[in-house]
Amino acid sequence: MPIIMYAILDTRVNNEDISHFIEHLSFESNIQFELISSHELTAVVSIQTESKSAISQADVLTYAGIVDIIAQKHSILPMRYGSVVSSYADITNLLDKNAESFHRVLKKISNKEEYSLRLLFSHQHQDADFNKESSDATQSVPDILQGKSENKQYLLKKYQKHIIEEQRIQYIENIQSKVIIDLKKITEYIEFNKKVTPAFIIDAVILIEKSAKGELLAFVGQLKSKYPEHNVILTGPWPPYNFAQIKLE
Amino acid sequence: MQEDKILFYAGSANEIIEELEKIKPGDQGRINATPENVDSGLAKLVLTLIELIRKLMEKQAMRRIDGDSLTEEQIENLGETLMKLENKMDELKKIFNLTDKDLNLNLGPLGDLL
Repeated sequence: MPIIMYAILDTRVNNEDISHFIEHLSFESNIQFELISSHELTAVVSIQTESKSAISQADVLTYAGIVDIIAQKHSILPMRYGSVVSSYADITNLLDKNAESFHRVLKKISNKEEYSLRLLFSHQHQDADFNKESSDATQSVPDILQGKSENKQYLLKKYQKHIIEEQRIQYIENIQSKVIIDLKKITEYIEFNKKVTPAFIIDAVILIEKSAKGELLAFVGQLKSKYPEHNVILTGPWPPYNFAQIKLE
Repeated sequence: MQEDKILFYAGSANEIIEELEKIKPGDQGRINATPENVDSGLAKLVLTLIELIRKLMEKQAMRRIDGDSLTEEQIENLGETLMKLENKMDELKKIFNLTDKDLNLNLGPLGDLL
């Protein structure tokens, strides 16, 4: 019978109340959780009782919700949906072989929480400012593109777009470098995602001490004051998915 | 997103939601090749790669213009070549009923291809 893994904890830190917590979680969620321990690590698992032919969004959300609940109470290595093994021995084997890596990452994320910070162009600002820069770009056309031929006119349009894009990138990099300096005062654990739509200026995940939440909120407030023309959103705390990556043995 | 996970937001909630919706995992931006649509799936893949190379050529051309290393004749040739390439791509997109959006593959954490 397949066994679903949700999280791995450091037994030395969580030994006292994890059994009681999991018992309560089983009762609340109607899922029978079990704890498998080895090498001072404990895996939270449940047996998959029904065979799944297709993934449903509800299943994924339920799984993520369980991991989130455990993460709110304990420092964990969160598993991703689909972390399924075929036997208890597989879990013990996994814990034994990767004990050193698991302990190292658990130490790193201990008493910390992950947050997501996003700064986005407002649609109005994005269009207005870069259209203005478009007309500025027209002023500084290289001599070689001056001329009335169709080919040059085509290249000129491309060049103007290129200049606007360069200005956008420079603008974003400038804000990012300032934000990094300020965020580094709160935490050393910052990861920037590559911007996935043109509206994104910053898409970052940060891992902070639980006690530093107030500092982070103050920082985000200042960020909004500095860039009132942009949209900003801070979400969390999330399980430390982005800071618990391990290459399994 | 769960509302209790939003700790702070400022600006336009609608715009934030709109942008976050765009990056939600989904079928958009993926190549959905099946035995029934293998021709159009393959066309999409091939045209996406051609479009990527075309965009790279454009970028390289802009760098050369910035570098001021092109003669008058080379500029004319470059303009003509890039224009013809773009027109040809438009023709191919029409033939296979594809839009620019279709050719922009989502590469997950790496962002969009184009």
